[in-house]
Amino acid sequence: MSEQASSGEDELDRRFTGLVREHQAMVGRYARYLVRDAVQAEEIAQDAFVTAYTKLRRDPPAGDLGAWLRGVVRNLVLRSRTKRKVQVVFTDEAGLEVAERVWEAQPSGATDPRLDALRRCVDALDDGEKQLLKLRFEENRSRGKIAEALKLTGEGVKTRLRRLRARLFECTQRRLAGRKNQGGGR
Amino acid sequence: MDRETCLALLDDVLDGASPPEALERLGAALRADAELTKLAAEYQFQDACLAELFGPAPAQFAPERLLERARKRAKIVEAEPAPGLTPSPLPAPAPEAPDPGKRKGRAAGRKGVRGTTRPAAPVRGSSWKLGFALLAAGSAALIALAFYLRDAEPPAEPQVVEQKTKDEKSVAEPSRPKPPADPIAEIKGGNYTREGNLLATDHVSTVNVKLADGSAVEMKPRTRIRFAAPTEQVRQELDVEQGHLVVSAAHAEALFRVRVGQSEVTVLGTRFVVDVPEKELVLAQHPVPARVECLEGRVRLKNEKGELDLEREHNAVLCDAFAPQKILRAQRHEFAAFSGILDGVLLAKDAQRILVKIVQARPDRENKLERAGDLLKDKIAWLFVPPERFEGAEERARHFMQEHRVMDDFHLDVWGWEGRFVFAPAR
Repeated sequence: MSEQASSGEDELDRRFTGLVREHQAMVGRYARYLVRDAVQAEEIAQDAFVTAYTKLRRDPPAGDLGAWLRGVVRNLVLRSRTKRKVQVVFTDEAGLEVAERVWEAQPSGATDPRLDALRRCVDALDDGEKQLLKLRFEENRSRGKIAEALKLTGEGVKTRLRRLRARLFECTQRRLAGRKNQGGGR
Repeated sequence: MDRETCLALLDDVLDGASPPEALERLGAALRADAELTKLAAEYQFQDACLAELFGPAPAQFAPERLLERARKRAKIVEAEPAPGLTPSPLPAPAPEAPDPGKRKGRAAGRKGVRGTTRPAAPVRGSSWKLGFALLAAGSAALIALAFYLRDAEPPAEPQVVEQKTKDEKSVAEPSRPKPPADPIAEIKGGNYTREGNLLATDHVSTVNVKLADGSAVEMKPRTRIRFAAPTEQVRQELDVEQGHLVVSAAHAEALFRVRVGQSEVTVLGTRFVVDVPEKELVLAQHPVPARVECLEGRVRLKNEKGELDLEREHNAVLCDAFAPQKILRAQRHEFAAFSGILDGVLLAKDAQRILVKIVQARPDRENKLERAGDLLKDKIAWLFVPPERFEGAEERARHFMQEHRVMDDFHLDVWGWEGRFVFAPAR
């Protein structure tokens, strides 16, 4: 391998590892946003970077690399939906585009008002509700397993989760609206 | 579709409780209604935030590891043979096995197949040149200490070989003449790559390595080991990164040491198998168990959680997460064939097998394994998928595992008799 080609490869590798370091948290989060299952999301996030490498070699993108990577994730999610039976809500490109717009509407960075608002809303829940969320999101239990743990029926768990989601959504929206009115929005 | 129905369906999807037809209904409704789509995206975003608030921190990808995968996919081969040594040429990639199509029938015990028909990816000539850490057993298994007792041999003093950490030197070791610089005397068999102190087999080859001290190591496909510099006290030291080894350590007064991850095993003379899963595993949070089988003599397994002495022809599992555990020694007739329903969680995968945590096992009426439910519950198991059927199998396994459906495409191989179940305590 000539020195020139070798240094070109080194530069590409350097760019790639820098890309991973800078964006892996966001890509992982984005994949988790689109794909219900944490394991599948992590795989897709890793595959996104591996795919990105090939694209970097052939046709390096310009502009917002984060947005570009999210596009790679969306394409993988679409492909995975048919190939791997990944469960996704958005079954086509149009839906994923909407998902991207919702994502872009959320501020990113160290302080995320949406996340902060949700955290405050969660803090206001009672212990039983927090326990339900813990079982669902920390321990990733199915409804059946949650029902066993809480000595409820499956339908009971389903109803409680649905109501909890709705309450948290409304609470978050109110807090964000209040924040915006106070001039502390995006 | 009205908002409430949409949200109800969405809840089912978000909780993984949605049958495919409901998902299709939801998808159709969203395609027809932009406002519903936006609402669904908001709810989905909220769930992602809840996962972030409550769930474990997402695993960090090692950029260098991703780079390795990316380069492999881009089919970059760096050929840099070690000075004075020529790597064995690799076979040209073979055409992929045709998709066999789905097979009906329940899971049944069957001998697994070593090796794979998948195309051999080029082994990078100097993969460590890029400086990424070659993964030690992230599963971290230990390899056993040999406790050598051989009846037929001239009586050797029973030697309890203690496992050492790097900082310990607890065994009195008489000084010996300095061993030769190159630990390898001869390599026979299939294709391999040698770069400096690294020796690696390709996807399909088994290689027999004769060492300078008279020991022998059989390396199965996709095995990577490194040779440390021998010393007067330790005549041979191997670091197993991944793969399957059969070690026959020669009798000698100086020691033979094998290392996996941060642990060491020092042997005097015995035969044992070490089976360390490949590093291309999905979940960093789940250390992968490795298998040790004692072929002759006795073997001592040890890690920070505990230790275990293993008799000849017994198997045990080693994992950083728990003390060494024997593989269940059920009778042959009990595990000759398992057919039934498994509920479980997919933990990890490599090229040939899938690691699962069995939550529940429900044998069907024809199954001879009456105690399957008790024996398999909460166990971790490797499922071997025949290579020709592997394409898509992982996806089906994951789908099965998450959906808690019958797995009718896989054969469960049970270690100890024909197969390769590893029973270990659940994490």
